[in-house]
Amino acid sequence: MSLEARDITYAYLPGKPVLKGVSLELRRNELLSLLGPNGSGKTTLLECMCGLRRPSGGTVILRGRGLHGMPPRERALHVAYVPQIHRPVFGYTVLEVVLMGRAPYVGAFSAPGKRDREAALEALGMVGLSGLAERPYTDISGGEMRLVLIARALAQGAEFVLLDEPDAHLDPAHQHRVLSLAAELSRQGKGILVTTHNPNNALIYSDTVVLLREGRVISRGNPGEALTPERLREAYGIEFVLLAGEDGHRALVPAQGSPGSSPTGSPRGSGSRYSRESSSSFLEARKGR
Amino acid sequence: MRTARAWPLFLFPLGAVLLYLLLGRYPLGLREVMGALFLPGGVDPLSRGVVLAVRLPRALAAALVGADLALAGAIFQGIFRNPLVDSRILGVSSGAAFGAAVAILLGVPWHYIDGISFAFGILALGLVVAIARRFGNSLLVLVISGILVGSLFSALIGVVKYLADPMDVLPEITYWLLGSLAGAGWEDVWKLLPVSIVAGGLLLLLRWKVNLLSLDEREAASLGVDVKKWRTGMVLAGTMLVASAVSQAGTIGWIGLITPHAARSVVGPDHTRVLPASLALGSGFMVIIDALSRSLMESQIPLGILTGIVGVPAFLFLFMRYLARGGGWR
Repeated sequence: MSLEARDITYAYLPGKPVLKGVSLELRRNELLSLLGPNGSGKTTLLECMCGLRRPSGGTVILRGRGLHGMPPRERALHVAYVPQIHRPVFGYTVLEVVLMGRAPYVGAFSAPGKRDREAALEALGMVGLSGLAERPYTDISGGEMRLVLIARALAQGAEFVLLDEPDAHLDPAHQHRVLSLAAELSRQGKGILVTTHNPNNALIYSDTVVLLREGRVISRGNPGEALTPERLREAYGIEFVLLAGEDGHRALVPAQGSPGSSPTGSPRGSGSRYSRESSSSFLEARKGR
Repeated sequence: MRTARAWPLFLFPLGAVLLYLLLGRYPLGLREVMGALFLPGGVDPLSRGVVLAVRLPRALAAALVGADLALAGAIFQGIFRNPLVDSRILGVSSGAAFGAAVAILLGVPWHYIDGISFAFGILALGLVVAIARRFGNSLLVLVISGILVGSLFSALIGVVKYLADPMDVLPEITYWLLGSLAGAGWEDVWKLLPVSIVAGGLLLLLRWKVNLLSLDEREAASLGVDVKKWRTGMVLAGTMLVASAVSQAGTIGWIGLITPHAARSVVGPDHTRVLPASLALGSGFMVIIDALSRSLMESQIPLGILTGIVGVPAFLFLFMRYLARGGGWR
């Protein structure tokens, strides 16, 4: 079972398509990272796949049916959206925010009941924030907000969860907490899609990577194959190098002296803990994992 | 975080109505008021008449008007995601006021004025919704068309005032516009009640939905909410309440703005509690304002003036508290 975008095109302005025929399949038990420069169409694609935007061309298929023909409530039972964080106007408690994920289960003229509260508390427990239930959402940290929004998606019970830049504006520890939770959820059976600007987060946490450039897919596959310095240069227009560390750790960083990166960075000597590697030896390292 | 329950707040309008029945130029004690209310034949006919035919209907009319305005204000603040919005935001008050002003100018009999006023309120709402739908029905378009329609009717009120005879008709129009429940009787209660029950009841049933609509539009849609459908329904119900209240009592500001803030400061921001709490506080507040209007001076003070004089300091107080808490409306 999968959530599949087929040949999606989308244009905000006539004649200026942001997506030019993108196909992408998100399966359960998979964490898929969607990368690409600003304006490459990541967020637009994500919103099309949530059913929040109707593509100008192509279809999104959920369980063999067109996502955009479904009533909003039915769609919400299967696909959840985790927006970038923002401060809401009203200082709802964390639990009240998570409870809103129960909207597809609550009748038009009623309010969430005991079962909905239990589901919300359980979801809050899964992200490890049970202790914050009664705190105002407006008073918690950015990393906690991200986790609360994930808890809301869990309370929603959808098997596909699409997260818009869940690692943005977070310190490394919170990025790790959020993304390792996303990876854990994919192992438990969810299909998770995240957009990110950080190739290293894609390397570390994802099963599949899709790289967009100007509204087209230029690379896809497992992170080791799809994210190479060559592909990143093609996407972002600057040189990248692949660094390999001692314990199989890898990182993709902008090369020193390439346009746009700092020319004054300290040169890495032979004593460095990391050494440059070609992408082929990296692939071998990954296979041997 | 305060999350008190809303229902004890209903003691406030009950107490306010009781106080209202006791106050006035004709002196009545608690025993006489209670007797008139609960023991038919237990008190002299004059006291009974003052309580049941004069004070009680007017108190109930005030309570309904306050409840309508406060509930509409709470709904609008929620769905427009803006705590500075009040019941007049969509121009319906101006439409209803224009209808009343024209009716007074044309010398329409007094007891038809509220009906004409209500009809013009609905006309204004129709214009707002038609314009908004024509341009995509987004939140921004809805608010802007409301402001435009409201401004148009305000200008037209100016025209009516300019045309009115300054000796007798103009003061009458001005007095109506400032708001009053003078002479309100059971007839007015029966006119207010159906809209309050139907539109108010609907909004109370939808109270949890207001939480969802107070989110970003796309976020709400991702949770399976048909945002435009529910928002349009709530706007219709809310403006019906405003048109009904304005047609009976004139344009009364501030209640729709302040009461939801007061309610949130007691029960927290969850609309399942904010809506009933606003209703309770708004009705009690309006009863007290009308009691003051009736008893402070020899002549009746217009309600719009009193709500402004009480409302501005109250808002200042709430705003200072908001700043002192470092922002974040609760």
